[in-house]
Amino acid sequence: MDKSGVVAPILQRLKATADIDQEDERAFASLPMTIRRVSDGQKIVAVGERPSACCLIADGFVLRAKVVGDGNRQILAFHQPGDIPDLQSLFLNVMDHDVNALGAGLLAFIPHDPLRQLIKSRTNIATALWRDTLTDAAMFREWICNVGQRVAYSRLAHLVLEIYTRLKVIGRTDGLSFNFPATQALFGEAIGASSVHVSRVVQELRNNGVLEFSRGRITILDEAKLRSATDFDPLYLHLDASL
Amino acid sequence: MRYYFDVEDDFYSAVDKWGTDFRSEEAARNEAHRLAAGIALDLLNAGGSRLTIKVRDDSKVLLQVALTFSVKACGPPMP
Repeated sequence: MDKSGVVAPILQRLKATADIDQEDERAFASLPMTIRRVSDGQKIVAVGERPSACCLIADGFVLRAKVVGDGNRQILAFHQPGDIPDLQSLFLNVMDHDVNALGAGLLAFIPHDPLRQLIKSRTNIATALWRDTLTDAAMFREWICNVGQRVAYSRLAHLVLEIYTRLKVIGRTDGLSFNFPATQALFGEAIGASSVHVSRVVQELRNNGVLEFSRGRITILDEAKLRSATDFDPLYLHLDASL
Repeated sequence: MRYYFDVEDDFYSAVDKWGTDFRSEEAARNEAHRLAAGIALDLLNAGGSRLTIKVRDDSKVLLQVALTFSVKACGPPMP
């Protein structure tokens, strides 16, 4: 993948919700980047580390997670092409959570110094990334609500709708079906349920004709049923800047 | 160490084919407790009354967690 392909998803996303002119686009695309393939589960950056670059996802998925006292892991977020999951390391020097690859992927590492320079010289980029960070926080708030207040069936339905809605924006859905390589154990870590509990919920969703999970592919069998299984309001994704 | 969690309740029965790794038998037991508590909520909401979780390793059953519960209305019906 060439550099324009690497930066296309993030520029497309930022342009949809913030003022980005052609000069901003050119400046972003001319940032130095090291492109690296990653394999499933590979560590990108871990708690306590001091990264000197941020990673922009060109292809594939990334998860953010934290291991709690007794060794259980809570997944905090899933990220898709066009996201910079460790953007915070630009200003918060020490990582407070882990970032790992989810499935095989292609990442572009952007060194901190030139990215800081870009933010100083291009106000539009600074504003767009600030907005992006705020949206990130809005998604964390929704995940707190998900894990803390919904029942497992509704939690999983909500998470699937979030992934589907975000993937649709970048054109990575095929009708009501999309690739997402998380196992049931990983879904469990994201919604605060054990993998065996997730299996039970997955079977219930399938039996009710709502969703089908099959080898890294999720198919929505009945979108109306899926929406009625939870209370998904995409407002928190802030995809529409005109609101 | 790999542990397997078989679930049987009013609506669902599954033998765990894949299993999950845990550092110790105690960690696997804690997982069984968490699993039981999680499914119990779903069952109560669905009107179920019984749940059994068997924890196995590759050769034998190590632990069985069984819950039965009943929900009875008391006094005048809630408004």
